[in-house]
Amino acid sequence: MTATPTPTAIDVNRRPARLSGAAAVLLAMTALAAVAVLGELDRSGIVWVTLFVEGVGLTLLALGRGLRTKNQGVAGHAVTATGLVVVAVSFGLAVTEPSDVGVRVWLLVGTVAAFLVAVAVVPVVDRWSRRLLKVGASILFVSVLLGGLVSLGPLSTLLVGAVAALLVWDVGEHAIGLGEQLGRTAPTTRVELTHLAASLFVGAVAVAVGLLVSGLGTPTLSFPSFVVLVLAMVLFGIALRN
Amino acid sequence: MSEHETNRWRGVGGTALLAGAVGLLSARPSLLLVGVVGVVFAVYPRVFSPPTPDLKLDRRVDNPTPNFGEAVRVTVSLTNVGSKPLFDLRVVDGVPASLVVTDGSPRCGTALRPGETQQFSYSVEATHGTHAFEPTIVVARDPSGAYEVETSVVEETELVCRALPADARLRRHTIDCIGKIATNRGGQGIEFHSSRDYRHGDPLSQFDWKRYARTREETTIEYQVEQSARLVLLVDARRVAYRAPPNRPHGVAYSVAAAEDLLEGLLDAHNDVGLAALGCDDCWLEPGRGPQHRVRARRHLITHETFSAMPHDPDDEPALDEQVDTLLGRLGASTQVILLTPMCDPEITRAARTFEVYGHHVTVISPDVTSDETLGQRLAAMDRQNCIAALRAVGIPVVEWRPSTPLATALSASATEVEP
Repeated sequence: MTATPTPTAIDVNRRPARLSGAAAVLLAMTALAAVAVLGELDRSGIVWVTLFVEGVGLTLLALGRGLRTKNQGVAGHAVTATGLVVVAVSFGLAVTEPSDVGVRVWLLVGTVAAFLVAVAVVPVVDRWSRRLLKVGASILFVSVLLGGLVSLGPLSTLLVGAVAALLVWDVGEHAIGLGEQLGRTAPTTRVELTHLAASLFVGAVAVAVGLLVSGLGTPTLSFPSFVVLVLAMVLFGIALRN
Repeated sequence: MSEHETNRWRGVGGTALLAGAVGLLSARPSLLLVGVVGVVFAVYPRVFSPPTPDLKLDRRVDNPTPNFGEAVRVTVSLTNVGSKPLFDLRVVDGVPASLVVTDGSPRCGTALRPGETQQFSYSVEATHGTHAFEPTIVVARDPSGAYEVETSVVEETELVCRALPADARLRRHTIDCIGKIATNRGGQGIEFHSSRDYRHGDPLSQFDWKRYARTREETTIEYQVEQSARLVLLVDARRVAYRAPPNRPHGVAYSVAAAEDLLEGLLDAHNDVGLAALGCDDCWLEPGRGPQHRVRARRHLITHETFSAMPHDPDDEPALDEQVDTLLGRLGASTQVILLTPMCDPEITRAARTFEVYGHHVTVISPDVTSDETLGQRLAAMDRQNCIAALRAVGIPVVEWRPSTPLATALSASATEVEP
């Protein structure tokens, strides 16, 4: 009997789930774009350019990782390096181009946060995915707060930005968890879409609640009483949690 | 069924407090309202209770008795038979450790409405032996992912890959090698062995009458004695034997598969075959024969704890010397030992030598689970070669088995090697 060649077992690819991972990065970008719209920061168009350049950079990072996984190490490393350079360019744009210092700081923090999220879910490095994602999402949330501080604008976009930042953590962590438990070769579209839909729904509810509360507050209440009202809501939420 | 919190929403209340604090300090109502978003997301995971998955599993294999190396398509259908929808299900099918998935994934993530069914399929490559599927592990989460419930669904499926199209090859080898000493004696039997002078008391049936008629010499014909061997298949199932090359079954799975093949072949050849294992659980089956014994031995190999797919806790494992001592007490005189081990450490060679010293003839069959991709792997392979050489140097035959070939091939190839 002749020897049978050893079969090639399929690799269990533990990278975060593709769909949710992409959604997390897109949501991070959305959080930034939402704040940009909010403060009419887009007057010079530089915010959009920066976001676009970073988007290209992150796509290159994802492509590079894909190539490295397929054992095309040299090409993969080259594409990853290019991606990193492009992302660095977007950081540079964020620091140098906007005229306002507040906008500069906000944009830099935001782009760095989006980069961290991408590093976590692509993933560019295979370790610390959750930690990187957590840091990225937190910074993103802070950048939304910063955006709110530097320029006042329509509340709805600020709310959308904050929701997007929280969803980045939710969706990104879901992607990482699925990657750990099932791997990329497993069919996971259905569970990912269900989770995404549920999270988006809750996000929409959160935006609606925010708008509703603001509708209650602004015309009739003074700022202190409004503060008390919101504080009461926050405490209510904490009481529910415990 | 085990249930725990994932804590993935921990800290989300903090975002509400942070936004509220910043809003207060800067007197910006809009930032205060961002805090509301945090509150909503802090409440979200509290709305749900842990899911109670109630599932039915149906596993189909397109060929339950494949040939060696053949790809078998496994299709799994999972149905939600409960009354509530399951929003987040992660399913990992219990592929036997001795099988390799070659196409698709035995894992699936899905969401199921009541009564809905999800199907997924994958291919495994058949290797020798009887492979029972393990329970399928299901992890269910509520929509927010705050609670996680882990449970398992049992659907008994077996793949049987009878490796040896001709057991004769194995049997002949077995008699050649294992029964060698016993058959070198002359006596009653069928095959001619020698003739010698007649001694008083020799059976008349062996008296050479033709010669007596010719030459008046009184001689007795001796025939080759065909004694069956008493032997024990000893499987090395210690933790260290669970070593596996990347993405391949581990050494114990191969050893057990080889033991199954040998068991059939040796019982067919009218030997007394027993089973024993080195590992954490006490595994011992007295040598015997007959159909009942055959069934019992087969069951033993498939179901006994010691041969389980997962390695045991190393703390449960007694020292190898103790296990060898226990076995020596159980092995009857002149019982031979067929030791099945991937030879991952030099200790096992010492055990083999101990058996040999106590008068039990040892044959080692060693599935090769080494690979040569990294320096460490090559070093391990070299270690194994050294162990094999050490055993051969003291006269213990070692059959090296590359599991990509049938065991019978390895046995017949080594027949010349063992007996020059």
